[in-house]
Amino acid sequence: MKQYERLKRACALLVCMACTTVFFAGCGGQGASGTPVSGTEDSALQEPKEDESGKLLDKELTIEMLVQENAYAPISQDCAVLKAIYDKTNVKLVLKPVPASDYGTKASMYMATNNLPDAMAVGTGNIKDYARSGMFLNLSEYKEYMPNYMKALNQPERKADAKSLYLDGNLYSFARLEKFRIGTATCPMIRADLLEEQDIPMPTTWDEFYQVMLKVKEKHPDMYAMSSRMGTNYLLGQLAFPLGSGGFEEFKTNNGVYYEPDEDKYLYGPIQPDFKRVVEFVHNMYEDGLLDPDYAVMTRDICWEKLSSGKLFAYYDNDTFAARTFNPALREVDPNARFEMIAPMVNPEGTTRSLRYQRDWLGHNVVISSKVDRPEDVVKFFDWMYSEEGTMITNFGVEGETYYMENGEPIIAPELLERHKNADDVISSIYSEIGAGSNNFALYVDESWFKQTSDPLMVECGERIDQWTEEGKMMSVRNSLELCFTEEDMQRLKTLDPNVMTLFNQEIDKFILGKRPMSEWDAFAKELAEQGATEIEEIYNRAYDKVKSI
Amino acid sequence: MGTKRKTTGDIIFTICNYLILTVCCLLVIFPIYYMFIISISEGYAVLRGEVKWFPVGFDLSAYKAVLASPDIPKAYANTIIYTVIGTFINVLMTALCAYPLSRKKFYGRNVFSFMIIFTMFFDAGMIANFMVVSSLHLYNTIWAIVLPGAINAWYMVIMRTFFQQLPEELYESAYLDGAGDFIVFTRIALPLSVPTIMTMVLFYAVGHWNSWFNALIYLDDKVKYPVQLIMRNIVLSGETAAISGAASVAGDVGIIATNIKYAVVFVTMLPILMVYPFIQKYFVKGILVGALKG
Repeated sequence: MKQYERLKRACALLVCMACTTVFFAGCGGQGASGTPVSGTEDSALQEPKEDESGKLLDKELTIEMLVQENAYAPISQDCAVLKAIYDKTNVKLVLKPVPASDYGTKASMYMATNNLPDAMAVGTGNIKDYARSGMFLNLSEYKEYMPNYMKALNQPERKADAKSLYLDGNLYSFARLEKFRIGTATCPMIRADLLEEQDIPMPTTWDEFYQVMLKVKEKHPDMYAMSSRMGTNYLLGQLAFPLGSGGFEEFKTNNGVYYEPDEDKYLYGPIQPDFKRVVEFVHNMYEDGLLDPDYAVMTRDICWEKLSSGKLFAYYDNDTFAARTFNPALREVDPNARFEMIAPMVNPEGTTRSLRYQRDWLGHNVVISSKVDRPEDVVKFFDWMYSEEGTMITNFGVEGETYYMENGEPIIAPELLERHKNADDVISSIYSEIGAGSNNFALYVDESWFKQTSDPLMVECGERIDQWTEEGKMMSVRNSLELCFTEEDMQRLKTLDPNVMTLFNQEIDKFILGKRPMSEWDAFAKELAEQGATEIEEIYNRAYDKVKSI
Repeated sequence: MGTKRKTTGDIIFTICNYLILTVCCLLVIFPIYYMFIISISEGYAVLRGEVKWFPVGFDLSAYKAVLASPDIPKAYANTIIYTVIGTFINVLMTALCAYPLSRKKFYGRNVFSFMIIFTMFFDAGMIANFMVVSSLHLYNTIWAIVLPGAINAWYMVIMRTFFQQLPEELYESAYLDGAGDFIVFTRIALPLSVPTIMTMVLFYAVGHWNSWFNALIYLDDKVKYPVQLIMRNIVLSGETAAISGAASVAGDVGIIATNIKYAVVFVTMLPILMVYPFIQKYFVKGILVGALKG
């Protein structure tokens, strides 16, 4: 009897397990009918169309592409640009939008499991990590199919930076390049209404700038002059280059290396004698009550709150913030209140120089899977996006439908503009509807439309920035050399960088807050050099020499 | 009656109790309240930091913007589907797994229990999971979301413990009356474990409602994304410089106003919050019985 019980139980268990298996298998079957993980071209199934003489490819091609989707600009598969692309090239571009907040994770997952979609955007570091495994198509082998891209890369103003896209002499990616953008830079900005109040002219030198800040502070003791939205190093990074030194520029708050145009080589900013002047400047600001005492722990939101509510009267940061954010917020309270840009100022060395944001998006690299069936055609298609026709379509859509030409400039179609005029961000909203621009997948970016919709101040600042660039008072931040380091140097940097930065971060605020006297700075700089800063400099310059020789 | 007079100590204890609990309540409620008043205040007032205790102005445009977005309603529906189907599968599978393991007569139950509990401490990691899911052809289907975590080992243990403490006599009498294992399970064990089941429903449902990572990894089509993934993108926008680390539109990453971010959080949080009151009466019993006597 007992044996029978046991048998019965065993049977029940088996049946149970079998049911589960069937259940799972059923689900699997359903899954298989879904969209495959990595699509390949389904051209074999398609009959060639009759009228295709004008198209880029003779045979239809489907390309699946992973794209990053920003929350403020949703991506849609049903948009004018994709239709126009199909009409002109015979390519069905299937977009796989991934939330920008986690794009990196998703992209890494595809690479780690060797499961790439036909095309995807990756960072420079990913190319370094995965290209040697043969996962990405080596574009250098297809040069004859991409004349437009090579032409864009070899433009004189881009040539030097574009060299850093090569890994072991091979090119693996279509980088997002800039055809036209409104010039933007980190600039000194000051509350013009507070200067007018005391008839103070705009400063032209850094010494004058300091005196101006003191005068405003005297009149408004409850205000501070400056703060930082990303901590001490960010602030130092904005001030260092214009003051004749360098390091931590743009968003590189953990990297003291910078390109010194006077010497045509890379230097580790904090160990250069000139850097002392930068620290002294910030230290004096603190002593004189010009620097917000919370500068080191400020988040972006709090910093913006202070700038929009009149608690800070100057900043050295992205010039567009004033037109886009602070001025409208200030205007509601005081119609006259506004930030205005100060032209690049003469530093104590007697030179005038400052930085603008990097040209291009050389860190945004579209790679092609090496498993695609018709690599030549895929390369041809991506190259087309850099052609005149491709640029117009990917940035502005269809002529007569989404834009009109006026004096050689593409103008947003009035009905399109009308539909989006109440959006928070008009351009992003339009881009989102038609599928154009850098919010979507354009690779040769032309942002002429911004001139039409942006605040006039932003356009004016952009023109001044471009003018200063021509005059040589401003230069673009150099692209990183990530791909050019040897494996060995890369490993060495991974040890050296944290060593030097830990020491630097521990002590820098003490100098600014006056807990360590400035007389000890030289000894501190020497200590940094010994901790590895000098070796970092050497590694960078070795890589730079290699770039120059390409 | 049997009530004792309260001593001074009792009174002080009660006052302290209430004070501490009130503070705890405020700690929980204030952030939600703050989010709410920000979401209905005027954008520039929020930017200037004028909103502290009460809303400044009254502006529902943030909610309009959120609800007018093409993706959110679809994502919302997805989340509801994933939560309902996922929770159903979870509770069913967990109960089916916990019940046999709770029966002393089940041969080898300790081995099975060990194998399941082992997974609580060691797992193969994201890449291996991804490969399993994709080779089972679950990738980019709803099953990738609801199946991989069908049984949570920890909840299974709670449930098993609950089944174990049901009186053995109940089972025996049922067997004597001729009931089989399945009848005993569905007619005796399940009806007696409503509190535990409701607790499991709550745990699993909240888990599904809040999850975004599996959706990110296993789903490809935007139309299948749950609302949390969309929300995350909105809330984190501007804080993660996704690929290039630098400039996007005009030199910096795009900006979404704080009131819109908070409106999104509020909209996505509200429904699951409203489930609590209905389940709460089972909640304490369900989790305590399972845990304490284990």
